[in-house]
This record gives sequence, structure tokens and C-alpha cells, in this order.
Amino acid sequence: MSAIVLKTHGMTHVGKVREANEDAMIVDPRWGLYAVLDGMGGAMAGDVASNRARDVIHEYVRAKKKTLEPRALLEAAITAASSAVHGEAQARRDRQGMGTTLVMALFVDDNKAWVAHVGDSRAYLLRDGRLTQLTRDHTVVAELMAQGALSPAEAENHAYKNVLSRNLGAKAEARPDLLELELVAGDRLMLCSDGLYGYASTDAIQYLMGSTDAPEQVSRDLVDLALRGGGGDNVTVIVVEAGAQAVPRATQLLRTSGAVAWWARRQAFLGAARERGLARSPICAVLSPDEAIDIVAGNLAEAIFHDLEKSTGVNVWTYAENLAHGWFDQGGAWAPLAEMLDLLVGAAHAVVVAIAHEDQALALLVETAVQRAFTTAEMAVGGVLAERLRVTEGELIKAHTLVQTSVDESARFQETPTIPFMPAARPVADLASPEVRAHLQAVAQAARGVVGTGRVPARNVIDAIERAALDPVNATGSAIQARELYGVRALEESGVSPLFDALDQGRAAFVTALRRAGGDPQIAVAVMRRVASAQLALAAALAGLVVEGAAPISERLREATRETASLRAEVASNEARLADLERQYATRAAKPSMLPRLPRKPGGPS
Amino acid sequence: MAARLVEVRSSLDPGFARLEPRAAAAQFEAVLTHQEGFLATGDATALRGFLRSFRALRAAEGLGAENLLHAVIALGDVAIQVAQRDLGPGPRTAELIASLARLHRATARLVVEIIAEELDGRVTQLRSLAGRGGS
Repeated sequence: MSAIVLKTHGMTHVGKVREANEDAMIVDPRWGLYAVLDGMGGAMAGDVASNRARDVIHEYVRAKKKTLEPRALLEAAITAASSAVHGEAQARRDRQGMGTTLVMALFVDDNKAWVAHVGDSRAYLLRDGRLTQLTRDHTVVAELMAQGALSPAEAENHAYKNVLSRNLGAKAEARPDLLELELVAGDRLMLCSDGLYGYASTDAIQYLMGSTDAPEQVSRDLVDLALRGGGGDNVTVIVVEAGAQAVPRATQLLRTSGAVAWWARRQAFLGAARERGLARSPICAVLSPDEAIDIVAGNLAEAIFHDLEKSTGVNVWTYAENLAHGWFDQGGAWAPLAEMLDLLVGAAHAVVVAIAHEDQALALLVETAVQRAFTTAEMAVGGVLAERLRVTEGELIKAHTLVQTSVDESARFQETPTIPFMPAARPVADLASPEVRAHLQAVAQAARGVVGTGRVPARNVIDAIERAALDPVNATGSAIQARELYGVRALEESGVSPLFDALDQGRAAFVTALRRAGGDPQIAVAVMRRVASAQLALAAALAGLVVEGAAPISERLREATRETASLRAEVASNEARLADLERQYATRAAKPSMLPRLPRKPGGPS
Repeated sequence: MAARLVEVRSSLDPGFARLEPRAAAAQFEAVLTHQEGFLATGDATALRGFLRSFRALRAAEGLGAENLLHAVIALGDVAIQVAQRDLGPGPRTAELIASLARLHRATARLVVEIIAEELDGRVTQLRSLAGRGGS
């Protein structure tokens, strides 16, 4: 007997659009049976199909689990369910065409389970923080994807996205896919209907599944996630957690007390923000001082509390994104926002210091949580800036093309639009002493010997570093050196990696040569400082050039990707239509009165 | 940490997913080494310079600025997870985790600054071109 203990919870919700819940589920820890069923068919028939199949499967497993092998038991139970639904559909005209999907897990031991599925309800496994989809949807689109006819991106928008290729009830027999699964402590198995993954990103699902919350909370959060994503379909989720070791109780307690500790000192945070001059920030210009503290600092304190309590980052993200959008939309600059974030980090740190006087362990916990909350804020603000950068780059390419066209058509040296190079940074006067210059030249010569004659790019880098290090004030500044290096190679041929590799090799050669040269340590340090500074300036200048050079290429790449995706979707759609017509033709030839009917789930996620 | 990062690289971002394990390991090592230097000295200059190069490298692969931010944050998350998992509970672990969290935020800030600088540069160029009748 394994030491793993299973904790489970299931939840189902009608969603925000549907009037009835056609999903059904089984959560039966006693028999180790968990299942999600998603019914389909008009006039409440979907409800009938999923409930009927659920009851048959449940009854069958209870009756035969002790006598049949797991695989045989699952196949027989699923076939019995399909037969029952099919029989009922045939018996009543208003239930014709009804059916249901099914995903189920049958535990034969605490750590061994069999997973079976028919249709597009899914099983996922979270292991070591990574979410893996265990089942492959039985849909026309998934089959096309498996054949390589569609990419995941094309499948996402395909017209046949919701058309099932298999379900329970279409025929008396069923063709489930089965897999055997061994769970280890810390794993989480999740079964769900398409009402979850159709309205929530995999990243968000993984994020919630990876939280330290109990299965009850996780399943509730997942359902909430689908509802926030639109809730256009019934949503059902079952979470099975293997082992208590997966969620150390101490961590859970500390996390909760971290949230409580933070909230208990909310006023201290507001006070610290006030003292540091939050109300004087230009971002708070339209607010009174009290409003500034209440709205800006108060809302952040609340967002951090909620994220701490539930181990998510959603609240701080939303807060920071709204703040950034509001400020940048007014024409605000990055610097005041950065200053405000720093100010709030400082205020939060004051709270951590206060906690440390009472409980060092708790203070470290809160410190970590607060830092992570502010990292989330940086990510949200950075996302807003990056989006603006992308838009501006597009405008710049258009504007530059116009200028090139209007100024001098013959002067254009490139056929494609590009972004002009940024002006070289103004060099700073910094003359080296004769001793340092002499040593630097000797070391550069030795560095050339280190790289040998074969590695031309590295030698070019050494030349450039030497020039920039010797005389940063004249015209051979780092930007010009970088342009020379950048200009002697073609981006399309070998990528930019060799260029940056050469930079590293050049620097390493200097370090080796300097170490071998020995001599006065003070002069050696001065030389190293100049070399490091020159190399860094060169790298930065080169980076700027590559970013500028790559911008139009990236844009073209994006356009090409969009166009290719569109064309591939069109081809796949036509192929699917052709296959459909061929099937219809074949069926007509065999039985002229019957046309094939693929079960379609009405109003599925788009 | 680098080994774990190589293992989960596909889930970090599309740029890493395309890399061979050796190339991915080299990139992760470079990030971690520069972060380690920053953690030890408190001097952000080298890390900042490196992040600019890293940004350029990834831009050449057609990846946007936000992609660098997401990648760096995903790296930091994995580093914290690995430290939590491998070191076990204890005051020294808590201290290290807090340091990593501070480092993580500081790195994210450096990337946001790089993006903001790029945006500033582009806006200036756009205005300059508009002044010449471009738009």
C-alpha cells in the first residue's frame, strides 16, 4: 500500500450564458471514481445524455470493480453507457442525436489510476509545476492536427473547432482512449469540460493548479477563471491531489499568516507611503493627499493582501496595468511611474522591517511575497510599455518609408523600410596615462595572440575594444566601432550569435592576456577597467544596432506568420470540406436516404 | 538551476523552446552568472549591459520586448522554485529566497527600463521624422 493520500474536490457551474447545466460529474472517493461528462443535444437532451451515462458508469463500476481488470472494466462501463444513451436517443424523436463526452479516472490504488476519455473533455496532470494535457481531443480539428494538416494556431480559429469525431451515444458501442497513470506525491490530476479550457488560457490554469491551496479552493478558482473569461459554456472541474507532502502545512500556515500580517499592518504601509511623499507624485496630481493615499496605496495594499491570501498575482497585475494605462494615456512618462513604484516598495519595506522586530521568519516571508508582488507590477507595466513600443515601431517604419520616398528616391540603399540608426552617444573625456596606454596596447597585442589568426571576428572585437579603451573621446567611439563590426556581417546569414560570441571571446582573451602580463597591479586594474568599460559600451551599442536592424525584419516575420496562418487555415478548411463531401457522397452511394451527421456542440467556445 | 531551466525551457517562452539543450543551457548560465554578479556586488551595470545584449539577441529572432520581460521573470520564478525545493525549510533558505525575490524584481525593473528607453528613442525618432514631413 502506498503512503500517498488522495484529496479531491469537484465543482460544476452553469456558466454565464447557458440556461441549463448539461455537464455531469462523479466524485466518489470510496470507489476511486472521478468523471466529467459534457452532454449535447437540443431540448434538454444533453442533460439527459450526460446524467444517464453518469449513472450507468457509476453503477457499473460499483458492481464490477472487484471482479474485472481495470481496462476491461472501463471499456465495458463506457460501452454500457454509450449503449444506454444511444438506446434512449433512438426511442424518442426529441432526443435523437443526443450524446455526451466523458473523461474519467479510476483509481486502482492511491497512486495508480486509469484515465479514459471520449470526446473533448480533458484530463491534465500537474507535476513539478508543469501542466500536461493527458488526453487528446476527439474532434475533427484535433485529428487534422495529429495528421499535421493544421497548426495549433490554425486549430484555434477553425470552423470545425467544436465538431466531435467521437462521443458517447452516437452509436451503441464506444471507442474510448485509455491510459495508465502512476501518480507521485505532489501530483495533481484535473478533469474538466471544455467550459474551462475554452475560456481560460493554459498558463492561467497551470498557475492556479500550481498554487498551494487545497483542491476545494483550486477547483473553485478554476471555475471562477472560466467565468471571468466569459463563462460561455457549462464548466465542470475535478481536482485530485496526490499526497499531503505536496503542500507542506508549514508553508500553507506561513502563507496565510503572511497575508494576515500584511493586512494587520496596512495602516503602517499607508503611513509610510504618506511620509515618503506619495501625494506629491505627478501621477496623483488630480487627487487630494488623502485620496492619493487611499486610492493609490490603499488599493495596492488590498491587492497584495488578496494575492498573498490566494497565491495569485492577478490583483496586483490588474492594479499596475490600470495605473500604467491611465498614466501613459495622459502622456505621462516612465520616470514618475518608476519613482512611484520605488516609493511604494520603500513603504512596503518599512512594514517588513517593523515585522522583523517581532518575528524574523515572518518578516522574510512577507518580504519575499511583497517583492514578488512588485515584480508582478513591473511585468504589468513593462507589458504596457512593450505594447506601445511595438505600435511606435510600426508607425516609425511607415513614417521612415514616407520620408525616404519624399526626400530622394535614388538615395535609398535598401528596398525595404528600416529604422535609421540612433545617433552615436556623446563620448566622455577620459584620457589614460602613458603607462596605462602602453600596458593596454601590450595586452591587446597579447590578446590577439590568444585568439590566434583564425578567429577574425574576435580579432576585430579586440581591435575595436583597444581603440575605444585607448581613446574614447575621439571619433572612434563605441557606436562607430559597433557599426563597423555590425556592418561587416550579414544578419540573414548566420544570425547575431557569432557577433556576441566574438564579444565574449574578445573580452576573455583580454582577461587571459592581462593575467599573463603581470606587472603593476594598479596599472593592470586601470587597464581592466578601461577594457571592461569599452567592451560594455561596445556591447550596448551593438545591441542597439541589432534591435534597430531587426525591427523591420521582426515586423515582416510577424506579417508573414499571419499570412501563412491564414492560408494554412484556408487550405485546411477546404480539405475538411472536401473530406466531408466525400463522406457524404460515399454514404449516399451506399444508402441514398441517409446523410452522415456529425455531432456539433451548439454555442461552444469560439 | 540551469539544468532545471533547460528541462522546462519549452514552458518558459517560444524563444527558449526552439533552442537545443546545450544552447539553452549556455543562455541560462549567462543570465544566472550576471545575476549572481549583481547579487554579490550590488552593481547593476554589467547585468544591465548583458540584458541589452540579450534583448538584441532575442529581437534578432523576431521576439518582442515583452518577451524578454516574460522570459526573465519566468527564469526568476524557476530559480525561486528550485531553491525552495532543493534547500528545504529553514531560516537560511528563507533568507536566500528573499534575496532571490529582490534580485528578481530588480532584474525585471532593469528590463522595463530598457524597454522604456527604447520606447523613448523611438518616439524621439518618430517626432523627428514627422518634423521632416514623414507623418
